[in-house]
Amino acid sequence: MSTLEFEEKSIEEAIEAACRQLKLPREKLEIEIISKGSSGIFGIVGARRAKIRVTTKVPPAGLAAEKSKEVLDEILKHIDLPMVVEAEAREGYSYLNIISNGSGLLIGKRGKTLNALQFLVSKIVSRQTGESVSLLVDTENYRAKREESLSALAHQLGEKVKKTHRSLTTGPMSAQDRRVVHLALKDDHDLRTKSKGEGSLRRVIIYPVRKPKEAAKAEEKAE
Amino acid sequence: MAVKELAEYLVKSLAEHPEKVELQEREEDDTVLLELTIAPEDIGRIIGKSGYTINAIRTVLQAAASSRRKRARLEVLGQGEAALPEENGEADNEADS
Repeated sequence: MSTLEFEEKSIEEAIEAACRQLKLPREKLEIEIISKGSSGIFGIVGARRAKIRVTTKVPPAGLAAEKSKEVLDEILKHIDLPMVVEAEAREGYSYLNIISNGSGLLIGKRGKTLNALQFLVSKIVSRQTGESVSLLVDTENYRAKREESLSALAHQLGEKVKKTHRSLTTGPMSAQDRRVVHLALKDDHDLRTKSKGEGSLRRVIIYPVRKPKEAAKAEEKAE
Repeated sequence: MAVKELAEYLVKSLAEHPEKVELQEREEDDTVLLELTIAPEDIGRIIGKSGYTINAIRTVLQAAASSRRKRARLEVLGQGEAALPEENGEADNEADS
């Protein structure tokens, strides 16, 4: 939960300012009055500003999901498609699912549009709440389908590496996608994975792990 | 026009000085061209690391324009030295479409 302080001419104004900045109705705020403020004599001498301390009552996860949905709704309002957003606070992140007509416009090439929406919503919400938020924007189950195909690709590449005993490299991938490849091959003890490259060109390399037997054989040969 | 409103919302939500955000709109054939002026200290924030933020904004604007069978272009004006990342971003966008 976050706590913030507001200072205004009157308590009423301070509460209003708090509601505006936190984008929450008054009932969802816990308000503690630090100083009532006074207008002083004739409003000139000894005027003191009112000060309040505000704690949000909504747990951060729910708040983040709610806020994220608001921002996403605001963006999607300008796109001429029938759309409804479902928000769900999940463990460690908010899941936002856009239900639409399945045109693929919201996904874009390799999820480019979906990723741009996700990036902007998370940036805007982080700015507004002052806390970093983690969220997943999805539509038509795209994230799960993509994870499935990336996983399948990882296994295919893995089989090839095992057969040829040569390392292979994936195409450039986002951090999210690389994570899926690493996880897909994590339990395969014949393979090892590593990310390499800079920025948007980062890829995953899949290496064969030499089995002890083969390693011993190779050593023998060397001797 | 909705594409301009969307650009305004996105840029103002990200800018430190939303009051200094100005957007000029021109329409050529089926393309909505937007020219953005912002406070100099906001330019870096709006463009982002290697143009990441401005390109995300362009992608979302394009989606809004596509939903109306149009195209959208967004240019940041008056960047002087900082012009480089944006031009790279442009090239990326064009290669993609």
